[in-house]
Amino acid sequence: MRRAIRAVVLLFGVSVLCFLFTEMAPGSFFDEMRLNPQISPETISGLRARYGLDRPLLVRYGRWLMSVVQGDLGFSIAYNAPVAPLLWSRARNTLLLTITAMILTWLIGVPLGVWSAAHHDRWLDRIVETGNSLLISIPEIVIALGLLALAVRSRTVPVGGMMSIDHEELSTWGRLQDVLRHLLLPAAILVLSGVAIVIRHVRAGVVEVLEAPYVRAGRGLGIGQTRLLFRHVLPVAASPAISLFGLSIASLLSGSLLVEVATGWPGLGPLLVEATLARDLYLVIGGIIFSALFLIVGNLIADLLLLTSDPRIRTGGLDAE
Amino acid sequence: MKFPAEPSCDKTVLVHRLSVTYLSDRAQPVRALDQATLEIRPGELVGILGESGSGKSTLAAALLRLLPADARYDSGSIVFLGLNLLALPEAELQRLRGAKVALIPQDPALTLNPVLTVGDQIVEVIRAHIRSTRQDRRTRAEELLKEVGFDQPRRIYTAYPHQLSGGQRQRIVIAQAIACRPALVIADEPTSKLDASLQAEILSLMREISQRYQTAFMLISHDPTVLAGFVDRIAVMYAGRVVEEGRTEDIFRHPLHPYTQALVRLCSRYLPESGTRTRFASIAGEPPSLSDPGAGCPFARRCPERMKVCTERDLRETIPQPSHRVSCFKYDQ
Amino acid sequence: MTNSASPMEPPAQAVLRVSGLSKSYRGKGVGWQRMDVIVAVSEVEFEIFAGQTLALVGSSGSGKSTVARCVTRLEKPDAGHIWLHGADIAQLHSHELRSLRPQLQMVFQDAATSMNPSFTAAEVIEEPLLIQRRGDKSARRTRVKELMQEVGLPPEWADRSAMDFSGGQRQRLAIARALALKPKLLVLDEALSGLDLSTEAQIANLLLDLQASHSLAYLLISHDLALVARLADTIAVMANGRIVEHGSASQVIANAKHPETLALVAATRVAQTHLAAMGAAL
Repeated sequence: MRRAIRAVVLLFGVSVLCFLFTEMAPGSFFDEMRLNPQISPETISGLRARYGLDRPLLVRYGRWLMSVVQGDLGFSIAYNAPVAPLLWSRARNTLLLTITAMILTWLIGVPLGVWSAAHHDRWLDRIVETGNSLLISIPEIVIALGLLALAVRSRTVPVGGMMSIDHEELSTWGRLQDVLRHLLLPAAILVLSGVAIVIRHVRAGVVEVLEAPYVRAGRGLGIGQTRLLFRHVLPVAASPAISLFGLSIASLLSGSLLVEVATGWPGLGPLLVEATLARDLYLVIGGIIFSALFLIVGNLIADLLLLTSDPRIRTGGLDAE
Repeated sequence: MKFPAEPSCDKTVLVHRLSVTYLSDRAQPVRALDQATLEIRPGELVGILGESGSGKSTLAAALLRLLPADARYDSGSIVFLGLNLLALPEAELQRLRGAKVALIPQDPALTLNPVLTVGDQIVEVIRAHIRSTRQDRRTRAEELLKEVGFDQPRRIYTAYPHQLSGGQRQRIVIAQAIACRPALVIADEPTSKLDASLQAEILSLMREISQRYQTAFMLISHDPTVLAGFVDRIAVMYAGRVVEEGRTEDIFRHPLHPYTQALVRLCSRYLPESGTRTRFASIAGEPPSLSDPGAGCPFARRCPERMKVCTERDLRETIPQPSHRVSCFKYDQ
Repeated sequence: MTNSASPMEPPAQAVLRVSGLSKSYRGKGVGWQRMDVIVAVSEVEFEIFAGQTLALVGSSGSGKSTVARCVTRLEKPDAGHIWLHGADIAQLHSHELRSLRPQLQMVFQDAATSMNPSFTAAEVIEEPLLIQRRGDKSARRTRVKELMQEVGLPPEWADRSAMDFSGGQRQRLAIARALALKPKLLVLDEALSGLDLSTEAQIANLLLDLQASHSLAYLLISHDLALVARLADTIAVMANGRIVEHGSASQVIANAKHPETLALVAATRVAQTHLAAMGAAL
């Protein structure tokens, strides 16, 4: 409960900061227009008045808050429409990409992490570790470009965008397939960039617990290796992985910006990039608030998960002295 | 719940001249056990008296065949319930551990899984060895909790280790060890991490269990008084060797080995004192380095009765009194 | 006739005088769970003189470790006074405590956990000197060797890694470290627990020798009455955060009244009975 209240306060704080920062950033939406001799200064000032840009900062903030309450999240100058629906349609695409990527990453990462921990310091583990180090050290952009090049060469996977040109004419199943095929490339990039860290965290957590006295005691009582691993080790080793999971959720909206821009996936990322460059004030602020929301919710979920998985946190025992 | 019947043997455990070396540092292998010999009869209570580095924990681990990967069995044999432990495959050993031989480890705070309820942890042991239904196991676990002294087994079943006191945790670990009615229970310093006042309770609980089920106990301790009220025989260990072994009264009344004599003298700390700030009886020097033991008797350096021969010849075991053996040159002239 | 000492004024001779010491903890609740308040220590009072030992005994949870932590200001007491040589340290800020810390040092149970495993013996011992900025490098080196000799460790071992020492030797290191700043009072929190009997005897004798040669005052925290009987001048028995019996060591043991004291005495009696039954050659 306390955390939820803190979250709301945080969101407020973020929005205020946003306003201040964008205010400090040079330039405004109408700069380009000003340079255009065909548009008269009166038109510009008229437009400015219309969008309330000539009012003082506090008033603008107040009006923006009103708009939040009404569900609009402000008004986009470039698109001439309320911000919220714009954001939401793009955010849906981003989420499709990131959630798919996240599921795949964890589906691959957790078993590999557990497996290499169980065989740790043997050849399997060493291979995985080397592969990991490699992946972690290669920046995401390089992975993106590399896979793009591969895709173009091999012509197996569509490159760019979310849908083919004839998307509308396809059947429902066909449309689904189409989107999925387009999803492959950006998802692959995200998975390759992220899986190494998951494997590392899971492996480290499991290795540490494997050495613990209670695992050795379990072995001493004749409990088999497999059962030990799943019933005794994993629940304890899960904690660092769960924290990471929470962080992954937190970055669902914000982590894929680079990939979206590189592959032309119509998500939140490219929209925000455009808006920032164009100084489309409320769109930018709206986008940031949206991402911040996800971050906070993600952290809350992580905390809740940790609560349910580790009874020590739940029952809050104070150690007998 | 049915427990599998035992083949009857005259000895539960027979360790014969067992030597174990740790190879963790190639340049300096550590000789943890040196020709150790010990036997335990069914239902017998045997004490291992030894300080850190004496090899007592290695002996316990060897009986469970749970030595670390870098340990090597140099020579000797371990026969448990008629089975040659050194020749058994891991699958067989797993069937023995917890079912026929169980360990009560030293620090229950560390050896209980923090995220499982204590009841579930007892059930895990049963599940590993006895075919049973979930309900059976649960009932048996609650029975065991009652046996080890809990008045409210149902409530304790759902508790987590961190919610219990040190003494309670020790009882849980004992419940785990006796869950499958093993033939031998090894208790490694069961009271050293507990308050002195709990010691008597825990020991009497173990004695009860031994009498009720004819379970043999191997109690390891560095404190002779802990063994005094509990075991029938004591084997004294030093630097990986069993240096003396005999009935408890003989060890206390007529200790033969100078080290044993010194250990018994240490017990004067328990005697009431007339003045305050009295010095403690102590043993001079430090335990020997196990990677470089030198020739002869390992205790020679610290021995008040050291003779020239003590650092020259190899030690032999002699039996100067009935049922009382010792490895000391004083008795080997 | 006037009573020149007001209730708040400490007598000059006591190295440590504690009065009205109290401390509580909030239990940790999560979210909407209730948070219980646990009273760890309540109205504790005692004094220790130079060259003397006061033992605080009790079972786990009695509050004795909390008292130790308050006295050394590892924690701040909720109420009460702690006079160290006449200065009340109970509510001082950390920078004010700094100049007083050298007088009061602590030795814990299981030295290994109180030491940085990557340090050498010399680094462990000289740490307090470094923190209080005493002397230059060679002066520190000399002092380290001096201290090692005093606690019975060969000075040649100064550059060995602390983890290469045995349990008993590490405890000696911890004592050497505690003596580095020439304190007047040592708080020994279960410092002899968990050691083999022979090691315990050696360390206990060392502590007795050091006490005699440096006129050290000791606050000894322990659950083992047998140990305490031989080391302490006065005993204070704690149960549920309060002192329930307090007096000279021999009196408290001989005339035990409170159930807690009786339980502790009973534990030593058990050992004595077993030894007598065995006819031990003592």
